[in-house]
Amino acid sequence: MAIGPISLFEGNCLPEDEWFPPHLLDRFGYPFLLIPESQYEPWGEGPWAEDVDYSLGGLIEDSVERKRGDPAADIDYEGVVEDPLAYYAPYPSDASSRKGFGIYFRVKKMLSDFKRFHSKLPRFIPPDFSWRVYVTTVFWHEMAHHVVQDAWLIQEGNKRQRSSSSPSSSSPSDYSGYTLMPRQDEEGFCEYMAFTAVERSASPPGKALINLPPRHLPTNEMIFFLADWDLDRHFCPQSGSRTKIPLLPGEIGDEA
Amino acid sequence: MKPDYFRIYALYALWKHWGRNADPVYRPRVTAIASRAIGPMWSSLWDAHRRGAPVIAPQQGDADLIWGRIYVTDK
Repeated sequence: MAIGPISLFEGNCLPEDEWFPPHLLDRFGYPFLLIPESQYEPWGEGPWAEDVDYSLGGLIEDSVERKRGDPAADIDYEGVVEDPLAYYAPYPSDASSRKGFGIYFRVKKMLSDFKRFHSKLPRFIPPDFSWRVYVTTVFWHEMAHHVVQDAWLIQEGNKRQRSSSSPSSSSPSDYSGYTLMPRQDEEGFCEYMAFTAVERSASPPGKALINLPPRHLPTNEMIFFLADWDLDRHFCPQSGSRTKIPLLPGEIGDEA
Repeated sequence: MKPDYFRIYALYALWKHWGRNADPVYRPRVTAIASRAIGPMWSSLWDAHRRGAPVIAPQQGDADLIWGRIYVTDK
């Protein structure tokens, strides 16, 4: 593995903070008014429907603890970080068996939860727009797990270089067992990074991926596949065309 | 209203929908433990990933592995 150049400055340390949105809309001069629950417009149930428990009470242990899963599953569950809507499968301990490493969107759970989420929004926010915000937030949360693992990997490498006589508790190849911080701190941290990323920049992952070499286009296509998947059929059955709101100035949208 | 407003509005609504203000695990925050753990390297690492720049790659000059490792699962 090759590690790119990283600049380290003490000023880059993130201070303690919490992402708390109520003040964010003030700068626009418009209020935040979620529609009352009595006026929710539930979407019709689709064949993918699957409940997701968003109380999270019962998911805490699963989310916080790394766990082994079904060995027959597609994902290599060694050290997998399981979140309600996605997984992050860390670098495996054996680089030759990279099969399971990556970010996995749990798309059925996402769509099921998204339907409930979008039903709470006012009509001026179209579903493809809210879906992009939704997917992007989930994506950056999982990406933050990945970057935490990278940070751990770099720190471990530095430790090993500094003290070759006193080896670290982790084997050099034991990437899947990364423990940079307690799981509960990491989840809150990744969520902070996700909300902050979507708040500060409109760039969806697909936008960033466009700038990558062509060999990454399948990933890019996947993002847009997700963004468009079934929306016409299940969320806007009555409309022949949808208005796409550009997320960035100059971004091409399909004006209906 | 601009798309920025829509985005922040939707994000705020997502925060409320997921109950993040009271969630014991997913409340979006940087704790003192997390701040110490990530140290000064975080911003550089995060920015590199946000730009799609390679950080950890199979070979020098290759793209970061993560960009080719994004999937959908029904599990």
